[in-house]
Amino acid sequence: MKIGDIVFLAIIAACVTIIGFVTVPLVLAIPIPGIRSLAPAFFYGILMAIGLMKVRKIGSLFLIALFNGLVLLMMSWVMFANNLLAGLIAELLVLLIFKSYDVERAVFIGAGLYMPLTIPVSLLITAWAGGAGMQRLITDPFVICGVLLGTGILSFVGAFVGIKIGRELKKAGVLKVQV
Amino acid sequence: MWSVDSNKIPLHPLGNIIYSIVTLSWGLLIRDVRLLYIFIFSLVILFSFAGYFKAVIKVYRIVIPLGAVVGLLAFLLGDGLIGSLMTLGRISLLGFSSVLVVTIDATGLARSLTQVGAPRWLSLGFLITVRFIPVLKEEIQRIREAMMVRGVNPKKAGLQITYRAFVLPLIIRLIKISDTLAVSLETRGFSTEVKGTIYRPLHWSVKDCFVSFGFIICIISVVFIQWIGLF
Repeated sequence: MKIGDIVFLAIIAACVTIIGFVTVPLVLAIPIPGIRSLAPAFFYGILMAIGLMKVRKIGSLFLIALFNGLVLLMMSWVMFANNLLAGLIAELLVLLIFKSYDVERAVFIGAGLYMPLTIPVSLLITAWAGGAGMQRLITDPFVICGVLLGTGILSFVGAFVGIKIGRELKKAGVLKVQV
Repeated sequence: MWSVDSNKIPLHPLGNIIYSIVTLSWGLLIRDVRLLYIFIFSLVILFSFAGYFKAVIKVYRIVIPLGAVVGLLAFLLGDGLIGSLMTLGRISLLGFSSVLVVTIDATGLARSLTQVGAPRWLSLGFLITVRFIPVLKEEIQRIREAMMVRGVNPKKAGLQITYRAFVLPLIIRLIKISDTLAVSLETRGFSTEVKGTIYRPLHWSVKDCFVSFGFIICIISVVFIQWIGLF
């Protein structure tokens, strides 16, 4: 990675962090497990896709997750671990399936998968902190499927919109792809 | 981020991260509600002496009502009084572990990361992310003002107008800032390939030693009490 790639990915991570700061407090008091991943999923999808459209290198998604996680580390290390794991798994899946970000499908899958992957760790933390009643609620398949499906749909729609924006910017000559 | 009490020197950033991780991990093992509250209380006392009292109050102003809501929910879901108190305690512990990291100075953390041999791209990327957040807020404000100058109310604008007049200009601006910043860093000799140096290295202070000692005592006491089955 060159310094330009790191700078752009760090700026995208800053945008992702701001989106989290704005959307997550709105749903903080709602006692539905995984709702904190669902609320910003659409915007995260857009930003991740734009980041990956410009820096088409293996490790880009992980770096955005890492920089975002490092800021969140200054609030709780659980959020850091959550973001880092999700970024790592999404990146590995893209690497296994596509081997690179050369095709737009890889960008779509990578950007879309990131947010749904943050849910399992969130559920584990909720189960620990919330007690037996909350554990029963979490093991309810309707709750898990509903939250996962909602987050997945929003995240993939966001990734699709992000790719559309990326294409438009590329056509206008603003977004220069770095490979 | 929040700072420690005035006239107090903050603890080492990496130490704070370790305390935070250990606090929450240890909390996972505590099964008795009384022991959990004793553990939290002793940590609050220890870190209040180290200058974190105001930060604890600030965090607990948010965490206690939130914990009470979730605790009440646990009670309604059939966990009983002990279960709901345990929930409140665990959320309080989660809040306390946040106190330790919320007070870390971003520059201090970047410096200590470089000091422990973290790659240059990591500390640089982290610093850019932290420093860019206020810049981004300003850019958003500037674009909103430009929309208003053109007679568009940002709050009432439709999806199409928001996309053309707000989203696209913002992304274009981000790309331009990123390009300028990258060129600026390269011309100043910053690179991802060379090892970074620090002008003022951070050191493990006497206060850090005292807090570490107190922290270890707290951890050992919890293990001992649970082991002898006092509660």
